[in-house]
Amino acid sequence: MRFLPILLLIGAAAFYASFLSWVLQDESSPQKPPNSNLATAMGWLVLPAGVVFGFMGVWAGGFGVPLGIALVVVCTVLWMPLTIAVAVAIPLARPRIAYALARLSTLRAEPDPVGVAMAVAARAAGRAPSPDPSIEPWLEGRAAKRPLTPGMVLALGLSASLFGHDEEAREMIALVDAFDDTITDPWITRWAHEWLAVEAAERGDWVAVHRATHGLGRRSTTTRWLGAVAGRFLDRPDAPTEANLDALWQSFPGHRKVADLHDQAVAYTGLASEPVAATSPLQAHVHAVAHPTSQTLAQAVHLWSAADVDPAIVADALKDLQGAASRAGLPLRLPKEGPMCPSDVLGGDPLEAIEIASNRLAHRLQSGDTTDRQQDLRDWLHLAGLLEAVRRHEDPALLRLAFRPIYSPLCALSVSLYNDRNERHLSNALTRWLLFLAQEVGDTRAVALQTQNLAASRRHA
Amino acid sequence: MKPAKGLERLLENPFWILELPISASPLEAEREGQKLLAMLSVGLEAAATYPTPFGPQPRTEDRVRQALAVLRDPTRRARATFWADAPPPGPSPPKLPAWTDLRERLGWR
Repeated sequence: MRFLPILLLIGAAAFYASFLSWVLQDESSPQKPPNSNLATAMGWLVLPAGVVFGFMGVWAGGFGVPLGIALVVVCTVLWMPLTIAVAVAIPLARPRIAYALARLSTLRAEPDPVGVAMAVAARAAGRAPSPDPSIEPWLEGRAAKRPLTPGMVLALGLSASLFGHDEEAREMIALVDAFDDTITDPWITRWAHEWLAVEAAERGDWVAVHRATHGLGRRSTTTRWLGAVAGRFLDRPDAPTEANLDALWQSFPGHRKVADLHDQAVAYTGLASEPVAATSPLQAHVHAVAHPTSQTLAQAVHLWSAADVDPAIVADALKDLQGAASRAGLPLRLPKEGPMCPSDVLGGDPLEAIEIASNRLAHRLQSGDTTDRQQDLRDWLHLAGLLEAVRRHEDPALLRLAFRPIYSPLCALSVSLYNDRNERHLSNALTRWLLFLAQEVGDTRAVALQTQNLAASRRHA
Repeated sequence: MKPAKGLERLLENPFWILELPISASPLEAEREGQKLLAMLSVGLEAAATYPTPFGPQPRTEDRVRQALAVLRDPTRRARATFWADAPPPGPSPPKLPAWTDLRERLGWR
């Protein structure tokens, strides 16, 4: 009778061990990874007990010492495998070990266990002195037979950045926010926002840092600090005080590694004022095309719109300013009245590019070429990038013009992903993206349809 | 190398390419253009670049021919005359810092 608790514990351990082996053998299954509340409960019972028994064995001495140590190590690894993966395997740049440890994590409620494991592996791969070319196909192999999830998208984005494809990585990781909360692990959300903020800060794009650090979803302490720094650099009304900035800086691990950068943010007192305002449109124009910023471009546009000059020269000037603005990744805000409207200045280039890309996608879908998930993602990202270029002009009419050719083929893609390819999470994310876009342009029919599609996909999830 | 977007019209001003004042006659423009084409065809260093408010720019035979074509057309010449008065650009405005090794410092690399 007195051995009953030990026998029950051994039985629970055996049950948990067999569940773990089932989880790890499940790599090639297209279905959702196995989960079991009973096994998880067994784990919560067995593993802490194993640690306690291990220490008791060490205390007892003799043969108990090595057995006790082994029991403590094994049970600790199985109890906190994700923590060990992040704290040990990532800094040691061991992606495959990191992946295996993260996949052992069954005690923590994870909506996306394979995605989290892939993201952990991708982070570990990033710490290697030089990128391993085998890591990208290895990661893609992990995701090959499963529906794409936000963790997988993050992992694939991080993998792209390993080889210098930062722009592709940026677009892909930004898609994590499009996925439904029910399938997005909080760690994935935090890591995605942190990576976007850190990468934008590397480029000096503090507007993008602010965008990545604010908004819905969980943020890491590092992300909150970067958001505060962005507020300071951008002279925002909600910029933190020096004391608040200090407190945020000290709140994240490894903050000492960025002490000098933090000092730079604390010492920041604002940019020096712009040079003396130009007195002629030509002078303002030269300054704006040589040094395109929001201020120089706005000054040039203002002076051209008021100038008593041949309208053909003004039209040429505005086209050149548009070229300089797009070179700098800035919008060109044109006067609402006057000889030129934005679509004339744009010359139809981005709208034409959107038409071409949309037609190419529609043609691909109609011809039945729907087996390449990476191509689907690339097509979506490409159209999203073209749309973002149009959005920067802050002209609702232009955005509505761009929406029409994009909507139908992406809608068809979403339906194909859901009905024909079992990519329900990716389809759901695309549907949400289309819904937000339809709301932005005010297309009530599209809003109604995408709302209906979302509700239907949630019912069948 | 193609000029940066937005700068082509300024950098390829025909008066700058031919190093002529805006008051130059059509005959003077033709004479100067033919002289530069001959110099370029034998690879003379003196003809290799032309001064602009944005610094010296490479002069090519295509650019010289294009400049002559513009100056032969009265409408295009009038617009080029306007643009030839462009002053040098002002100093570059100060930029916000870029923390270029941040990923490495924060454990993303």
